[in-house]
Amino acid sequence: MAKIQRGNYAEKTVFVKVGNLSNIQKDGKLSVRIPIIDVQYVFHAYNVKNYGEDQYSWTGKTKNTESYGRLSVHYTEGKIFGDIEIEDTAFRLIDLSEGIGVLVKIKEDGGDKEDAVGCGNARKDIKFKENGSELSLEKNNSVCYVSVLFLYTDAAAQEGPDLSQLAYSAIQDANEALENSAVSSCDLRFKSVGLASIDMEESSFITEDLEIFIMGYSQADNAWLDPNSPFGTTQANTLRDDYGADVVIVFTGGTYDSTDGDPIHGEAGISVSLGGNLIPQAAFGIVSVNSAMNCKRKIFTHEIGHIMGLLHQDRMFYGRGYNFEAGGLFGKKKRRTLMHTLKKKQKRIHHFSNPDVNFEGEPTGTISANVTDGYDSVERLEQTGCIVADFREDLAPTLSVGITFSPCCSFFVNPDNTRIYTANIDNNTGQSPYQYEWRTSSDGFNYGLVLSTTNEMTQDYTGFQAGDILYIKVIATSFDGITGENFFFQEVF
Amino acid sequence: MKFQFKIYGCLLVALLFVGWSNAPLLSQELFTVLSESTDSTQ
Repeated sequence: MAKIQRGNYAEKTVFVKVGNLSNIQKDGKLSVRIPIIDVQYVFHAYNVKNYGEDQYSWTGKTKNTESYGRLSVHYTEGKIFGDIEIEDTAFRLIDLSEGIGVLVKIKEDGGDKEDAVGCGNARKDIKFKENGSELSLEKNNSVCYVSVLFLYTDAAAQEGPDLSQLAYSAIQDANEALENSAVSSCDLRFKSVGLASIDMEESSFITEDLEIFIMGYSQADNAWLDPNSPFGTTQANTLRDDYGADVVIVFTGGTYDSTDGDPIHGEAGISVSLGGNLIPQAAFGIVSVNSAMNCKRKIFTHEIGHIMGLLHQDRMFYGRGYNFEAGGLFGKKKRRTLMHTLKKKQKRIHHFSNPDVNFEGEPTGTISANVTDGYDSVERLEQTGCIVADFREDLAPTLSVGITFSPCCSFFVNPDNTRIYTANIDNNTGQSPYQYEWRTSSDGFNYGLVLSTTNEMTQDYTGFQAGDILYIKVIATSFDGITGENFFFQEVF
Repeated sequence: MKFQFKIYGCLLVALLFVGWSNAPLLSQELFTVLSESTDSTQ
């Protein structure tokens, strides 16, 4: 506890006993009095994954209130932890033991001052835009999971938080962002393949530290990594091979300053360039632990977005961040999608830009007519997902299940629609034939009887009302006994 | 001595009752605060 209080991220802390959320939520609603600020909020479930009695993730957001609020709690291996975001204030829940935890009110720091320099310094890759060919879409996988290895320095471990909890939250948050943004579960999801320490003395320059992992980048020339340059030979590169990781995120503990004094929260390479050059050597990112503790920044998701080939809003490229004015509920405040940099008091929402998905009534992107215009990160992610997932062979494959639906293509469903959901199994995992169990739930926790045992399930939405969410879960088992599962959150409009 | 025993007995019963009556209420909260909030020293 003392270690957490000393952490650079902590403003206030309080010991709490954390209840069993599966019993406390009622019909998808969770009323929570938040300690430290002592204010009650009601969160409405919108992304719930109930893997079983001993593992779940529950995310809800406020409705019809002045303040945008989001609560995300994860329960796994007997630990319960997560994040709460109430407009300008962020909290982190850290499990200490046996349901006793610390709720930390996160300190505001210079990261949100004036022009945000940090939160991912996308590198200059114009060079490849000119020379590059169109991105190849030859997929070796049909359901694409990008394997993420988390590494941490001694300084990161010294900062205090349980890094396994932070890594677990990071993966869940990134997948939630993909789901919010309507990225198909066949095209991209992330999974962790491990957490390990590395021997590394941090410098005060983030690019200098990133160059330990990525060879061939010249900061002096502002030049991109040569795609023919060799892979690094550091301990991190070896661990990447040992774990079969497509991408690597390194947690660091120190503070990186930019030339004008603002802190830099993270930086990452871009492993698929604008023109479609594949640069697996560059699939490394650095995330400061202090920044990752602040859920408002969504720093892990932002950095892994860079690795997947996304850029900031000011680049002439469709796979970038988007800035828009949200409608009615939150006082027409400006909202930024995940790849947008932040200025003072600006808010990132948990969405990648996508013109087909709205946030509070406003589209979260614009249509891209060619490679240089529009704001559509999701189009780019659906192009690069399976390619990055193929950087390394999966050493411990599980059954990868993706869910698609028909008729195509609106993400939302109307109350008078019937929709067919199909489970897609990655052709590299498990032996056919497969067995299926489809179930649905109105609150994400309590699932009913098996509705279908084939690879399809038909759902009639007659009687549903606009605003309802139906949680769909499929469990698949291969002939050789490997199981996999996936979820789909169907919003009704 | 007998009187003291009765007092402690009553207290024990009262405490058990309070604990029992509050148990369902506590289980309905996500966070039960166990300490005063502490400002972190930097």
